[in-house]
Amino acid sequence: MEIPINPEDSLFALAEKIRNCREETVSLVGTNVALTNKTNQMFLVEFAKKFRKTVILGSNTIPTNETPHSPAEQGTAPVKDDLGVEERSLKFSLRILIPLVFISLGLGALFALWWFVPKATVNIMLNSEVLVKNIEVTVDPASNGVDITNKVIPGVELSVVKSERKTLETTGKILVGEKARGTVTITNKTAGDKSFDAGTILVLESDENIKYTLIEDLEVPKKTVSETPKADGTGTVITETFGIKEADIEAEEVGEKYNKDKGSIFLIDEESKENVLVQNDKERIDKGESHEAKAVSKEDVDLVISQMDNSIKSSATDALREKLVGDQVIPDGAVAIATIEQTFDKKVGEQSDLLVLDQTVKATVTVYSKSHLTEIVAPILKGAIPDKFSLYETDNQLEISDGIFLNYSASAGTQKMNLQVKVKSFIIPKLDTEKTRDAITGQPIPAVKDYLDNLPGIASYQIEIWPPLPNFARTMPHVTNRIELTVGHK
Amino acid sequence: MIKLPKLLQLALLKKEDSQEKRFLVLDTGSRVVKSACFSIDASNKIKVEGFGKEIRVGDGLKALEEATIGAVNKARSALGERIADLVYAIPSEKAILCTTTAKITRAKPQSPIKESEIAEITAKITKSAYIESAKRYGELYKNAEAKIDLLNTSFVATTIDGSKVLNPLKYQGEKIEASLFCAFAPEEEIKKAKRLAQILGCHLSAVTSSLYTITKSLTLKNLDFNGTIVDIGAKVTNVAVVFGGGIYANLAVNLGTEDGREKICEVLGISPAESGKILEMYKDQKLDPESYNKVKGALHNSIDVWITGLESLFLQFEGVKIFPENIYLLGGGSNIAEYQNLLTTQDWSKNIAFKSAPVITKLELSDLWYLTPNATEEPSLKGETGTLSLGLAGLELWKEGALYGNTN
Repeated sequence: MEIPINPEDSLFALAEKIRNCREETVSLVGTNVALTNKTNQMFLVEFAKKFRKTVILGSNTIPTNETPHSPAEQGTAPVKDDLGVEERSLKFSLRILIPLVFISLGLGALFALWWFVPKATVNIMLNSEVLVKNIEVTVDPASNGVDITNKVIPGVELSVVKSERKTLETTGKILVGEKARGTVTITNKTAGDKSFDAGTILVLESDENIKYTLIEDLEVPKKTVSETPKADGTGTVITETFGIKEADIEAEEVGEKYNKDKGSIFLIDEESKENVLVQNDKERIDKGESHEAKAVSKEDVDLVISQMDNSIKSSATDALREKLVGDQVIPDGAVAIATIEQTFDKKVGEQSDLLVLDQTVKATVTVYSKSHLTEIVAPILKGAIPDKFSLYETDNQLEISDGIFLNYSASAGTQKMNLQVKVKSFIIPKLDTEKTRDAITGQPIPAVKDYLDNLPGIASYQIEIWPPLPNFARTMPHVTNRIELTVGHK
Repeated sequence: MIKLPKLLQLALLKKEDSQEKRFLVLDTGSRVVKSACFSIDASNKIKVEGFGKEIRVGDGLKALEEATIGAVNKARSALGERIADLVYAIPSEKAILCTTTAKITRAKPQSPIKESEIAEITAKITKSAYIESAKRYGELYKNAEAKIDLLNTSFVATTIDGSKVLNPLKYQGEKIEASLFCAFAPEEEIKKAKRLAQILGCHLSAVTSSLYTITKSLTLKNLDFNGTIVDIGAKVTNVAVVFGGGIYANLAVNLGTEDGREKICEVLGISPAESGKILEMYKDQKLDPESYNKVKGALHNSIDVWITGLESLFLQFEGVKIFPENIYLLGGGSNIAEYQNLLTTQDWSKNIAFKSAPVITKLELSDLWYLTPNATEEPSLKGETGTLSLGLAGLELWKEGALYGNTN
């Protein structure tokens, strides 16, 4: 088929002409700037091949000067002579007629087959758009049914009590061991008796950070003065005898540093060593030792609480899930946990390798049914679809996310739960499938393509016809019911 | 390095004491003429002082001149004075770009390579490239008599006795293998460039191609750069195949974004002037669903044809056994998402020998590392990568001391 082209036609326009041409061989006739370039020419050849066409660009697409054929040149048919037919013999007629009848019957049968048997499948892909909407929904345990107007769905309150024990290896450190002990001599040089209670602090004279305590109450008598006449009778001799007592002492803390050799001097608060002399003049203060041991730290307590919170929340949520029936859903973040009891077996600083926490909680949640959510969301989404579009519903395309928990709100004595739901769906241009099937019934394939090309929103389509027929007989089935039309979307 | 043909050397009479650090670039596309005014800052980066573009009304020289004046006036309006130097970008489809490799055995390998030897090698390769390019141009445009002239040359890679060197000068060695990039264009295009420079009152300091400056921009960051540059213009799509930093060859097909625009006009029954706005609204998804689908359909229709054109171009490259898998997009079409989407999603490359599945990357202004942030961060300049890459040609001229200077 020859297609005239203009010098100013763009390459794209030439390509479209080739694509739209119904013939398999396309001859472009005329001069064109784009076709002076070899790459453009090669493109058109490749492009035509894609549509199983052959393009003839001519000699640089210079118009051919072929003269159209005159009617006379197209051939004059010889005049038929029908007069002899009536004179033919019956025998000759039958010899001709019988095969003709059979041929006619055969042709009739073939026609009937061609008319009634072919079937076609037309798969239409529509351009789709994504429609996404966020909808806030209230879940009300007091509600008996779905309320589309107020976006309320019924809910059920569930609760469980859950106890759990968590044991943690402690990480704190403390010093433990023996306190040094020994005996000191307390000498009272004053004129009054001295009494010291158990627990009285004795400070090492050489290191005021080393302290001991008296183990028992103690009375140290005052000094005594005696006067005896001299032997020569010239006067008297005065003798002072200090009060002395031995006392057991114990280091204030554990550790080797409290072990002291004989000869150490100790001071008692508010007493000078000139008045009250304390020294271990008889034996060494000994047996003091220390070593590090594990103990409960503040961090251990915080960690075990955190582990317990995560674990008990998870197990309580699992326990709640076991109570679900049908398509009930627990929204993420909606489980509320209240602690009923919390007991630690050790305190902070206490020596122990392990810390044990026992905790009991009550978990409560409001749950909803997915079907209720779908019931309320679908009509709301449909209300948001733009004109000339419809929801693509043939394969349940509504994607409804699980409800995202927003908060609880209490009113009229019931606790309602507010959720946000994201709904996603594909919307497609409205297509009347019945009308389309009627329109293409019995049509030649190019006409069907034209029709489908002009329908709005069509991305692509595929036509399959059975049985394969030669081009001249290849039409859509003449019986509408033999056309199966499926609609999909991109 | 940009070396200019002899016929342009008169325009490069250098002012010895010139401190000129400004120049204009002019990019005459098939639909829009674009111009930028640059200055070179203290860090040797180039700053965009002004940018202008003007749509060509018609296809003739008069329309080109009017659009050029409009675009250049906008570009230099910020400085309020004339700029002496003009870097002119020849439409890439008119340029014949190639990299030719030659092997030379030296008679005296012990002697250091002299400038005269390099000049001789350059002349030999250029002559060989000229013959090949003239033949190619004649075949492409079916015009064996067409005269082409050299635009610029640039050494891509040089090895001496197998060792790669940046500059062979003063090296010793026996065997030199040199790859030289050459750009040629038809004489009438260079005449056109001179005419426009005359109208603008500028000195034509360089005639080049944005395909070259883009490639050079990428190569200076990666000396062994391999890739395919696809410049989707309004009426023409240019493809350049780059191996080892040198453009191996380039081809063009007369398909571009204008086809989609015309299709939109046809489908919506609107004027060409309105189609720009509609396209912007489409990109921002501000159209009503019916119009959106019509525009989408029109674009897809044109891009389907375009992608066949692109495939056809790839199949026409002679001598390329394997194409680099990295494809870099620029030009107006790179700003329309559908082009990149279709290149990524459609199986258009099944008949083309790519090293691996093509990876599509849109070239951004940030790839032009020699621009100051005022350009790379300016929203109105987004998408003008091709035109602004021409700044590299001006920068290299300045480094060589070849900017003519202020004529005032």
